Amino acid sequence: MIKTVDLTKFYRTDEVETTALNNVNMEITKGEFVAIMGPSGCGKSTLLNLIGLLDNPNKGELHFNDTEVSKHTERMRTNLRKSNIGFIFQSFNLIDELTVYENVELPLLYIKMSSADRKKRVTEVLDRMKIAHRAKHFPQQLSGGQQQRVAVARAVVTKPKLILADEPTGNLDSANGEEVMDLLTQLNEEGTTIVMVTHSPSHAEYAHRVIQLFDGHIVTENIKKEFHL
Amino acid sequence: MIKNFIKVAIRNLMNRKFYSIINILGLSIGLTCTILIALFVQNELSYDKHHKNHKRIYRLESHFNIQESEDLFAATALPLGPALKLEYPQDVAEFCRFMDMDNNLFQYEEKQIFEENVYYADSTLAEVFTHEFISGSPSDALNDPNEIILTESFAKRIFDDIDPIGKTLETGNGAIYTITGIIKDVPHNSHLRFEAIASFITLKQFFGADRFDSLESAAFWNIGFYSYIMLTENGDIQNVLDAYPEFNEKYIKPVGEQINAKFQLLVQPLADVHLFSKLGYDLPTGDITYVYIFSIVALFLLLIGCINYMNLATSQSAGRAVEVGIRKVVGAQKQYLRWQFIFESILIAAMAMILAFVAVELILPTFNELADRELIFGFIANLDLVVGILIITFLVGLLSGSYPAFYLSSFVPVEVLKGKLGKNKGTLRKILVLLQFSISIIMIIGTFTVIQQLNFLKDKDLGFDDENVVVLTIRDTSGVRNLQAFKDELKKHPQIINAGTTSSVPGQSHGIIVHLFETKDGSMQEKGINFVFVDNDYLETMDMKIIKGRNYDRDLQTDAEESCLINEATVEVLGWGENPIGKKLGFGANLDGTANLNTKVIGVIKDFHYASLRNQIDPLLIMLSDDPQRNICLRIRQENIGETLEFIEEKWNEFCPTFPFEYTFLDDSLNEQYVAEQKIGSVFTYFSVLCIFIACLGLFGLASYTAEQRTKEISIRKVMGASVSNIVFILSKEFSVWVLLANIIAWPLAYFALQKWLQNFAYAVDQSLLTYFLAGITALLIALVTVSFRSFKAAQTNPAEALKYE
Repeated sequence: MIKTVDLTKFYRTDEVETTALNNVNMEITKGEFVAIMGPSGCGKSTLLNLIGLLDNPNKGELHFNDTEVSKHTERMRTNLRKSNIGFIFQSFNLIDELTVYENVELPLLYIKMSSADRKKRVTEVLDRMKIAHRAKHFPQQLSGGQQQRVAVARAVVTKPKLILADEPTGNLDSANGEEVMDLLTQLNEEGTTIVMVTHSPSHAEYAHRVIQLFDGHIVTENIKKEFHL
Repeated sequence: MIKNFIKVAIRNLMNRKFYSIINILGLSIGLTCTILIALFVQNELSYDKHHKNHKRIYRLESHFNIQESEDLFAATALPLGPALKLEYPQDVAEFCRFMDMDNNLFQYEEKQIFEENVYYADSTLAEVFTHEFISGSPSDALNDPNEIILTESFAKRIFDDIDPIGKTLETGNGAIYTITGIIKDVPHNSHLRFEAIASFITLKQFFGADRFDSLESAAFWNIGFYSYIMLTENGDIQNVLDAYPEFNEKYIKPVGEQINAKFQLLVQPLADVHLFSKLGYDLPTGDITYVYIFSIVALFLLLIGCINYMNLATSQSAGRAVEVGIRKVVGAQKQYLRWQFIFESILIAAMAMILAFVAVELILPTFNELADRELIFGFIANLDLVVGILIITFLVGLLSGSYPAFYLSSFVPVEVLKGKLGKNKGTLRKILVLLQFSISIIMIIGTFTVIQQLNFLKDKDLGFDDENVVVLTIRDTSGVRNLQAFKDELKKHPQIINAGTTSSVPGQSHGIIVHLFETKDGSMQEKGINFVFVDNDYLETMDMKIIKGRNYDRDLQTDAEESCLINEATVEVLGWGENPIGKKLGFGANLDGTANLNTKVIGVIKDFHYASLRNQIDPLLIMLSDDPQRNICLRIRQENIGETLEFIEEKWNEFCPTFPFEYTFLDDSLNEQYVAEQKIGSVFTYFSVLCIFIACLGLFGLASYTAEQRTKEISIRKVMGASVSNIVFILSKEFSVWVLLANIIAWPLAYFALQKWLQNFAYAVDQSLLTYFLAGITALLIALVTVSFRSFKAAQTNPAEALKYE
């Protein structure tokens, strides 16, 4: 599903150039659950952002569903992203001005789904995330765990083929963390590809494979579980 | 999608109530003032345009050139209109003349009504001008002598519900007029407003048929009528002006040559009279300068309101960064986000607009009082204005929405979501603050200077004592006959110090007449000089000073016949130097070139301001006359004024029973000359307060925003040992610099604008640097208080809290 060839990203300020990713080569198969680990600043999030088409690499190739996308314009990336990729963040990133329902509905607005279909889809997802009773609440009125469930709901509402999670449990206590991990596992079992950045070795255990990054390089890849297509 | 936009917009407003209020309030104040001023300006520009033929109507005006003196008058000679029509029938279709009616007391049965705005006018009134007749025939209502038409409200005042057509009115001098027409009230935006018009032909019996119909040259040298001509459909005023030299040759020059004077015909398009006419003997008019001033003020207020709006909108945008990031991540294209922000901005601007419309409705009565207008505001009646405001609102929304729209939509979502916002130094915002405060400082300097000039006009030594002088104007001829007795009676009261009579009190227009005067070589030369008639007590009553020679002596019979007092300006202009006493003067050059040469100068009066301080003091002859004069000036004591006035009224009713008792205090009526300036003064004060207020709203919002943005910095500084005052200083310093810089822009602009305004006055205050400093300091202090209020709060936050939050 995803293939990178010599993927490189560096950031430039006036005086300093920092290489965040350096010739990364990897492949993620459809249906896989991959965890990316490594110390702070090793390039985990940068890799996730590139895979998520939020950013373009400076060098190398990025194949998404067998299409080379590294030279895509922002408009093309947005179009590809909105129907294929869902995001989950450490800090939830819900819009404070929107209710739970509206936050989850948001991605559907941009893929121009009819209002009746949207309602059906949002209700379904909220039910599934066990957050339907909070539909009319605003994010600030929810606990951290509940907020992350809303974020997961928002990520899956478009039925994306790929979910990218950037430390989804980083701001949660262990119980809520486990709950989110269970949700991700469930989604993965239903066929969604998942790439997750995490600091937590125990949460990395949920993945089929763990990629260790250090200073922008892949240092090791550990297969945790058997994964069959 | 739109639903989503509206929802988010409203929730954002609610979540940021403080900024929303500042934002909407600032813009709506700006819009409110703009609408009010636009109404005022629209009204000023609409004068006389309700006359269907206004584009073809011109007012004739006089330009006299006698020796070196030039005089411009709104009044013209009796035969000018008729002669122009006679000579140029292909261009001049019709004329209509007006003459003020002196006897303004109207009586119907037992009912007496006094009305000043009454004129005689030609029977062509209805043909030239557009007046809607409610009853009577427009074409022949003024055809015969002693006919009169009344306005609807004047008719109602006299007749209540009785049909007035055919009824008669008797005036104060016994003339009887038959009512032949009722017209709708003359619109407020007419330069010539009247309550009644009597037929011009009535004057024939007063003037005599010879004079009334005369086209002799002499008749062109006696002015006193407002004349209007209406061009033919294809007529061109330029043709008339081009042909004027021949006209002049034929009608005007013969007598002009005898008295060494020239007359030039001036014409003014009807619709321009109100704003562009500044002539002698004119009706009260407006002034285009004030239209400009008000328009600029409106523009300023609108600009400040808009700047405010943009400033706050853009400063608030950072708070929306996360939202933008998420919207982008979940698939929003850039243009969606742009539209969202622009839509929001327009929505808020629209709220401000609605608020402004409501405010205009509420404030309009007060504004009318302030500006002395009868403005109304209606969505249908002022459709153009409403559409204009809609467009402005839309543009303001669009403009102030565009910056955040483009700025925010260009955020890289990855960075925004990590809280890394692009470094925005807010230079644009600071420049906008600079602009706002420049405008505010201009307004403050303007206000200070206008007030200074008004006080200067009020306090200036006029050359006589204008305080505690009661002026009675006699309108009734029988009253004038008993004047001496009336005066003597009044002087008996202990509180009345003195009483003198005059043909014109200071502030009223003085007559001008061609005189002969003695030149250095002893020959006699003509010169047009103002004159006034007074009695023996007048100079003393007014406390005017003789600086050379002597005052009139009531025991010298010759004084009334062959003596004359002059002012210093006369000495100066005639070049009489150190020895003006005894110089010969021919008072009133006759049309045949002769004059009574027996008059000799017996004294020189210290210059006094008999006209407004807009004008230099011109030469003036102060002539003694035994004839009764129209004005009685009474110098009274300060104490028991009420009682004194009661006494005067009692005597008035005894001597002038026909007319209602009316009096003015001289200082009041002199101040009324500056009513336009006083209005400008108060309007300026109100508007500059509003300017500052809006600017401060913006500054306060910005200061709050900056303080929020710098919470971490403030906390670290505090941890490192900064005191509250250090922090307040740091936060206030930045804005203070910009406010100080604003002075650099404001000062020269204010200086040039005010210099131009002060040129309207012959006597004006000098602009002092102190005023400018004061204005700058005022602005700075207000800005500092505004910013410090917020900075102080920020400086008091607990650093532990803030740093934990970060």
